[in-house]
Amino acid sequence: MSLDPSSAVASLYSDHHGWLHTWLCGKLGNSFDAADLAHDTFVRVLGQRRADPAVPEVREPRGYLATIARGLMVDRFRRQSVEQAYLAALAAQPEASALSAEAHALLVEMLVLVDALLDRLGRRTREIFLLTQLDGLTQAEVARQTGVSLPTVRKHLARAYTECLLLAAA
Amino acid sequence: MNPELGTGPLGQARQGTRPALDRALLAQAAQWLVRLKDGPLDDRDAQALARWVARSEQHRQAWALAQAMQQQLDGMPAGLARPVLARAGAGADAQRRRTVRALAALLATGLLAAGVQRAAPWRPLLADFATGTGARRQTRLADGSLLELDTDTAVDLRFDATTRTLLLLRGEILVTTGKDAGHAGAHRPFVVETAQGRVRALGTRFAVREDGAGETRIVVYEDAVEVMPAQGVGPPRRVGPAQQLRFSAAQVLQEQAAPVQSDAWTRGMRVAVDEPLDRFLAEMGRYHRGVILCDAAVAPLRVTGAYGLDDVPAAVASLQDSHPVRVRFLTRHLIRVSAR
Repeated sequence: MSLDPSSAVASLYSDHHGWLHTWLCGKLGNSFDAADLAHDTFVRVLGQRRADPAVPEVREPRGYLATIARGLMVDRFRRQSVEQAYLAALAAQPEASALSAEAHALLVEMLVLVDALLDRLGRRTREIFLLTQLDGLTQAEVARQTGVSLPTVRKHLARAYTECLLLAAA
Repeated sequence: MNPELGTGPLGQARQGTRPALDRALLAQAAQWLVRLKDGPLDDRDAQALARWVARSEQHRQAWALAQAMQQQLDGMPAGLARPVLARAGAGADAQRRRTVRALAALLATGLLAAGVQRAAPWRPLLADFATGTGARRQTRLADGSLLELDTDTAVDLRFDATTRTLLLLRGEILVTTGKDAGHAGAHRPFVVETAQGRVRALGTRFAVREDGAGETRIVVYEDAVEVMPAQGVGPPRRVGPAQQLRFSAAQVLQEQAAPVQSDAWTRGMRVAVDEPLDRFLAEMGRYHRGVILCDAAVAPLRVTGAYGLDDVPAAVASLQDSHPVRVRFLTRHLIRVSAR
């Protein structure tokens, strides 16, 4: 990553990269992952600045960097968790070998997105979404099974689809 | 939507220019998706939908997006998607709570089971010495021994007045025992314990690997060790230099000559000698955070050579120079090796 020496990100990097790496070592327990994540954090900061150069100067640089790093850590753990569950599911599903490697890769990407989305919406919405979308239950059957009213089931489902559409429209 | 720009996992167009579709409009489209999910529309509703779609260009685009997205979601194989999305611990709060609770439980027992999750973020924080995926580490112990850790390894130290013990929780270590000169009194025995049993050093240089599938493998480089499976009966089994031995908790499994340069990982390399490609990739994969897929068609190809472990993607890609294979990087984590 080459930085214009006079840029704000360059000084953020030289002033705080060492601190960030040490902080992440404490969180992750090893230097390799910490270096990886610190790098990703600054790439994200650079991306934000490029997308919106008018963003004001950061007042609390360490808090700002830690917040971004925390978000990336959650993303990373989620991705590892999804990939692990996916590999376990593959092992149990003989017909999965019919999928091409590209199909596997795209499916994993979609699962990471949908998993994050369902996390934001809560446990109940996740349950209703899975029963409808994956298990193929009618909304009346979902209402019976989850013990909530039919209009509530539709509300949860609509919210899930809306969030999904917002993601797709971005 | 311009098909040449390609679509993302949720059916969204990539890098296309499109006026932003507002949230209220997408929420309405979502309502229609919910209606359709429950079954085909009757004539009256079908006409209402047609009128809604025709209301403006934005309505038309919103509906096109909604249909594409629904198609992507419907295309998810339930057999694979459900175990992932419904997994125990899915959901950020559940993950956080489980981590704290698990940490407390493990501190109480003092010893991790062999089947510890690879991705568990708290694992390295618990063991006395640990490495992440792709990392290696060297450390000098208080008795003068040199301890080297391979990728994804966790070790606990239990040095006391009578014994020097290492608990190998996961992964592979190479030990060069020290003379224990600084310790007053008799020279303490040096022992490595795994879930399968104990390995006692009778000399200087040996490696122990716990594969997480119920087997421990040892390689002796100098002098000898004695192996005792956890449930074994009878005297310990002695293993001499340049020998490799595998054992389970119940018994010794197999002894054979040690593979050429099996300790090359301590120098950041892996040496393969006429090794089947799928086994080679499985081993290289231990140093790579992600999955390396090997097509059945190329799995029997043989690999010979020395490969660097610090950049596994580059090492795997270099196979294209010497073998009739094609290496593709599908995502940051998924590498696929197939026939050219």
